[in-house]
Parts: sequence; C-alpha cells; structure tokens
Amino acid sequence: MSKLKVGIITFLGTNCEQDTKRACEFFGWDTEFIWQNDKIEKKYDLIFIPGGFSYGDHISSGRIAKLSPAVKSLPIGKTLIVGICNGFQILCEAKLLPGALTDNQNIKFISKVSELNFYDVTLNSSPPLVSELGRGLQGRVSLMRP
Amino acid sequence: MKNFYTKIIVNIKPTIKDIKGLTLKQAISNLVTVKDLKCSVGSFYALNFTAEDETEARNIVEKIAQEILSNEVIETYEIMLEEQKE
Repeated sequence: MSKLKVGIITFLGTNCEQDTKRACEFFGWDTEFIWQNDKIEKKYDLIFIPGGFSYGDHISSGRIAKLSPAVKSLPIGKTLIVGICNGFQILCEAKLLPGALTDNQNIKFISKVSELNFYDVTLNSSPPLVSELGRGLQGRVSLMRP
Repeated sequence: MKNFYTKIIVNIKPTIKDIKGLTLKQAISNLVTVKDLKCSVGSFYALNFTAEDETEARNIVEKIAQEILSNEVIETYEIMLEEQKE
C-alpha cells in the first residue's frame, strides 16, 4: 500500500495531536498538522481531528471548533475523516455525524471497553484504508457493511 | 444605528433527561430540605451590539443562538431583546 498522506487538525486546547501523529508515523504515514484557522486546500488520504479541549470546551464541547476554517473546509465525501474524543464531539456539532452528545444518564463517569465498529463508506479507497485503521485494534474491530 | 441589549437563555429540551439539574437537586438535598424541589440547569448569555433596527437585531441574535449558543438536537433557547435608549 502506498504511503498515506495524513492531516491532523489542531485547535487551541487540543492536547492529543502529538499522540495521533506518533501513531500515524508508526504505520509509516506521511503526517502534518493543520491549524484551526487554515482552510484545507491540500489533498489528504486521511484527516484526524484529535482529542483534547478545543477552545476550552467553552459554550459546549466542539461548539466553537465547528465554526473554524479548517472544519468548514473539510473535504466531505472525498477523504476519510476520523474524530477522536473531542474530535468526535466536533463532528457531531458540525452535523457531519448524526445526533448530539448529552450527559451520562446515570450521573456517573463510565469507563468500559467498547467494541468499535467501522461502517463501510463509499470512498474509493475505503476498504484498504479502514483495514489499516483497524490493524492496531485486533479483535475489537468489526467491519460492517450497510 | 441603534443600540441593543439581549439576554439568551439556553435549556436542555424537556424530552431529554437534565442530568445537571438532577445533580444540582442532589447537592441541594445534601444541604437543606426543600419540598417538591425541581431543578433545571441552563446557560445564560448577554450581548450588547448595534444594528439598523429591531428586525436586523433579532435576525442577528437568532443566528447566534442557533449556530453557537445552542444545539437544536438537544437544546432550546429563549431570546429577550431590547433597544437601549441613550
């Protein structure tokens, strides 16, 4: 498989960008950061929105980040976009994923192992790319097709 | 141009469990006995700005409330808008 070109969006308050970069480089992917105020004009195979507390979680987690030039210029439908933790919150706030996050129903912090399911999306590179992403998760990944 | 002052209150929709409200209720119950206590926790925002008229002002505030201050999937908002006379 050819070397993937990866972009990692960072915001004020992002704190997992180095971890994400390190993980990508472990697989030999060509990785660079994308600053929140920069429009995405380069072509990437994969874009990560990593974890942290973008804009201090002010107003609500991901609420302000969704308005940033980087998020507004995401190449939707053309590139695989992965939101991790706060990145996932940003994708929900930006309506790029359905639904919204609420508080835990039992007023308690929940820490459990969860199964991660990848839904096959209609991107040209999708099956090999998804397999690459799942490679490190061994046994906790199921590839689901609609 | 006219000066406007607005208060925006954002609350969780009634169909969604208000966890912060329940947490507050629990905390109050640990402090003092209050009969039939119900709690709701929301957010309050206040803005000052200028606009041509009330229509423009209201459009601006609605956009801010919808796009930034609330998430329509789980939250509602109320706007109180008034012109500030010199």
